Amino acid sequence: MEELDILKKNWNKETHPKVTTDAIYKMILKKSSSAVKWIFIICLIELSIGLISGVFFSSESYEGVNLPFWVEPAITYSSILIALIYSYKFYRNYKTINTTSSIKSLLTNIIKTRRTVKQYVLINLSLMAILVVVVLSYTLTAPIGVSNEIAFQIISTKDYFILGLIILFVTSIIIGICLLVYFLLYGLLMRKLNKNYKELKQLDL
Amino acid sequence: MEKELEHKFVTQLEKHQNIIHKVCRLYTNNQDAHNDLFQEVTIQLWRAFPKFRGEAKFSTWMYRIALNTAITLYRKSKRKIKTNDIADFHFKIKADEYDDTEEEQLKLMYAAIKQLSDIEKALIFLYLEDKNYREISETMGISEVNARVKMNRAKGKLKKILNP
Repeated sequence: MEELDILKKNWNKETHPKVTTDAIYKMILKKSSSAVKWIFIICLIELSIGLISGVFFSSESYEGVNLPFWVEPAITYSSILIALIYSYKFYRNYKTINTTSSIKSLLTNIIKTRRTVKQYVLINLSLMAILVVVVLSYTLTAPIGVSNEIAFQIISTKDYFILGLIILFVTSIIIGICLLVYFLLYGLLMRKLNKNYKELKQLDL
Repeated sequence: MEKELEHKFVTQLEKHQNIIHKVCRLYTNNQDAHNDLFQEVTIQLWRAFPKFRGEAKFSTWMYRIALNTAITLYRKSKRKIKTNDIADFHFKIKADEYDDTEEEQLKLMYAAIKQLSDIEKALIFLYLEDKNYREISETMGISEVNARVKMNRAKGKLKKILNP
């Protein structure tokens, strides 16, 4: 085939920009930025889901529960505040990792990102635990239509003990489910990040 | 030990980088995609490097991984290729060998190759690299007879594209 032979003749004459050793190093480093980018995106999605569900369900979900007036806004605002702070932190991590050029600073940044993710998950889970405990205590001890004062008089110590156990049980189940969701969302990305960290650590020896 | 491995890898890659460039040349349509594929191949090579025992030549091993990466990515994106997209893409031949009609033919040839399937592209690439059928069968993981049949089919298809 004539055309193909002309191409074959010229095939090795084409010039390509030479990639330097430095550029090759950078290519190996770049892998982390995509994992950190996804951590940031998931955090943003979580924030928007939180905001949307907050707008639609907040006032109705606690209806009928004798919660003190400050509980609902405190939970809503603190979770929004936490999500905002952490989405900013994740964004900063993403930006820094993206512009990092040395192995040492990339390692530091990966450690920092891992710490931020752990903090974020821990704070969110604690908030969730507090919410579950508060809502359950008020729901179980003060049935609908009975004021808190009367409820406290009716319920015996033994009942409180049983209620405590129920609250503990339900809280651990809910926290367990949340932990599973977080593990799926962030855990897998963190695993990728950890693997890259190990590879880089070997490079840096 | 690791430093040694890394140094060995980077030196070899620098020396043989033209192989990756040529694979990128056939599988991508613009400079950005070319650079992305180059980076992806480099990362894949680096990941696989600790398992490289040196039984095969570094370049042969590189052919296999570079083509596999290009084929996998090509399957993922499966973008339609417009011929005018390809025509002007970094076509540089040394000035003393410049030939107007030949250049035109080469452009058409590249455009035709881009219309082949990912596997056919790999075969044509290895043909252009002047590999014999034994080497092609080793790199592609197919039998020599199969390589021969597929190569003829790919050439036939090219001919059909160029002379409809």
